[in-house]
Amino acid sequence: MPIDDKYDVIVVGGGNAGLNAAITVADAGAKVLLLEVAPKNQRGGNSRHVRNFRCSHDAPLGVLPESYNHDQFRQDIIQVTEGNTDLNLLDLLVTSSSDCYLWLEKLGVRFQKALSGTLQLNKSNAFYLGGGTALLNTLYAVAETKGIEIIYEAKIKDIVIKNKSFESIILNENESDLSIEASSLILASGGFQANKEWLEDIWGAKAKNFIVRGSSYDRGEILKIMMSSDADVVGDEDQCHAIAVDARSPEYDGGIVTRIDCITHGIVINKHGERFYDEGEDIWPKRYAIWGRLIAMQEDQIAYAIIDSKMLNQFVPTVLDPIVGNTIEEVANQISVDSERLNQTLHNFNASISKTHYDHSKLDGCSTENIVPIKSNWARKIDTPPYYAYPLKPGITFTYMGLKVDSQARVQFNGKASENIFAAGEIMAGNILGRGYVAGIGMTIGTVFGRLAGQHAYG
Amino acid sequence: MDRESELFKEAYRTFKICNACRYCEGFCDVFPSMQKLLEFDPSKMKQLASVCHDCRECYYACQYIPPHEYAINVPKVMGQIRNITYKPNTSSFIQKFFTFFSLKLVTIIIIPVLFMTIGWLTHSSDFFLSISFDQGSFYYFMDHRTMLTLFIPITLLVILMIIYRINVFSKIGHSALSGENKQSSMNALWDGIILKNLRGNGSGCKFPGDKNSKIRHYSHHLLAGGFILCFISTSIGTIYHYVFNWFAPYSILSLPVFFGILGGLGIVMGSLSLLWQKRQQDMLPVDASHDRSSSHFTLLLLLVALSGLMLLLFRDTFLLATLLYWHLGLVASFFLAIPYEKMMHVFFRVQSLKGR
Repeated sequence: MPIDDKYDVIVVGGGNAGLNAAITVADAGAKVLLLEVAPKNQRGGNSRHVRNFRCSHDAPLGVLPESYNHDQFRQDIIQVTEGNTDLNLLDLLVTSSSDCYLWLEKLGVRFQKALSGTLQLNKSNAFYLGGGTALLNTLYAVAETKGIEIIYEAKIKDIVIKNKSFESIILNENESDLSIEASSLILASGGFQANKEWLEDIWGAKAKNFIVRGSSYDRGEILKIMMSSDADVVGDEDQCHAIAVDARSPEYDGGIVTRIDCITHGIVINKHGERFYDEGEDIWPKRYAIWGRLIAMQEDQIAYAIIDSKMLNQFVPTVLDPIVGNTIEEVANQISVDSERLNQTLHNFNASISKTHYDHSKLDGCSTENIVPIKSNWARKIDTPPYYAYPLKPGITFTYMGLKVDSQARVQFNGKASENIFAAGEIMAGNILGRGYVAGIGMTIGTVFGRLAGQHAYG
Repeated sequence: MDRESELFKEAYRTFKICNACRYCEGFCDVFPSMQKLLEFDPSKMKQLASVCHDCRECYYACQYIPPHEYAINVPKVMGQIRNITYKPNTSSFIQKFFTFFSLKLVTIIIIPVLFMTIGWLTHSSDFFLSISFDQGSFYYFMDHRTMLTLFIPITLLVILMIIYRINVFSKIGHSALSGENKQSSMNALWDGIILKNLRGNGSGCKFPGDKNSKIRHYSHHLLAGGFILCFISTSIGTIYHYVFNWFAPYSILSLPVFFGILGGLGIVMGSLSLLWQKRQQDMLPVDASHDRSSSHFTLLLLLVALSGLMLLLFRDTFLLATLLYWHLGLVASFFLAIPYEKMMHVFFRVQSLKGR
């Protein structure tokens, strides 16, 4: 495709945030260039793997029943972030999220009811029919009909910024540099979670054992350029969304199927055969996002979920079969954990359970007594062979440290907003997510701030 | 057998990933049913493959298609499995016969040519004679009794074969994917007729690539509707003959001819459109051998309808005998191919939809 040397708006990143920005600004009549780092068949960053977005609504809306109002949404975020959030931006996010459903529907995005096994999300989260890849395909088709020019495998070398104002972008095309000017720049290039070197700078050798659940192209190169241009940064560098995934998963791009959902069904041990955290602290949708970090803190970043045959078909099935043994020793030998130690852990755990009103459908209060750590709910003796073990590693989804923005999605320099540089999506998620995570919030941030950037970047 | 067990292993690997993902749950009945399949069970996989109407939504929505290392391709695997279910087991004599000669060659060329040759041999002196209506038209070249003697055994054989094959298939489907809430036969039949699982959530299935279109849906209805009208036409003709003693040939304004023309046109248009679509479609989510087998069957139907319409059009000319034997040869081919071909999808689908 021939590239012009001047556009109204350049959007960097062809995921959900970038596409929403590009389509919004093209609707306003702008000439738009979208730069996507991945090849076409892997386009869209982490959006390829997502399944829903969180959406406030006062009345039933499309596939969303009943209501999930502003206050509930707001409270959920304040709770998971422990207050580490920009309240003004949070209010903006929650208010705008309700428009997003109809906006996406108008673009041809199709929705479906909450998937089986995700019932607790059915009011708050709108599921894309077919998931994120289908969403991307629809948005890319819309972008093409609106005349947005798209360059795949775009290699961005530099961004020329003078006096907090964007001037041009330097693209490496066929071994030579190409300078492209535009009146505005929208940055939607994701987090830096696939940049293992960067992660190692922060986490040390631990990062070697992280599994990247999403795109291998999210390397944070753009964030790095902006940081060296003195753009204001928000969020702690080690904060991220990370969950427990099957240790045997692909190093990158494993997506949704890598997760292991049986932590509440048994116990989790480290490589020394010891439990290290309350597996039954709260319902799984409220706790799954803490386990990536918990496992990252264990030696060699490895842990094992242990269940017995009573629990085998009680959770979402896994891609890979668990390690199985007729005795706990058999299991211990296969996972190279000291069998005596594991036996002791299991013995102590089983001996600490006297309550029998196990009910996994609610917080049953069926807790252990007199052991550390406690298992607060769903404590049930692990005593019915065969026994099963799932090896767990931290699976990082996206990092939070990013560009600080204002209520028009403008990037900040020394506390002052840029007149023509905007950011949306994971690259600025840290404005909302100081820590913690709730399902679908990443996509809400991308859609809302993508549209917002698009609205202010032109005209 | 080895290739078959490899296929089922690949299917099982695919289903395990689908089951852990579930994003495609809203597209069709396949994925919710798949979730009930917890063990490696080829017979249930066959049933599942028959619930799949090949709408291809799940292929384009999939985050795990190549170049991802999981290399998932659900529609292709389903097509490969269906292809096995359409073919009878390999020990059968007929299967060996068709493998040797190729079903395509036998049905499209050999049988019709055989019919024409016999016609020519039995009527060599006046094969190109133009026979008028009152002389009996086509009954001049093959009287009613001969036709019955020929086609009644063929029909009975085919019906027996179909029943046998449904029975074998039902046995595998008998345990059903979802034992408790089996669907009623009426529900299954209705969902089969409206092609519920080809609707891709209402916007049509994918054609030619990642685009929703209703053209396949409509073309299939045109073809199937035409087929039913032709069946009605034949039934009315039978009633005319035996109840009212009104003998063929019938005038162009009579009910059998009217329905026959409509039905024939439906089949011609529907099958031409389906064959055209097969040339246009993105082949990535398609199993080529399944596609060839279904193309062949569509072509056979097209020829049956085309030869029938031509017979009607030229029944007053010297081409009557040629077209008559060609048409009858193709009809016989069609009948004989039913139990071994794509046509079985009608029965297998409904059977499988019952077990969803």
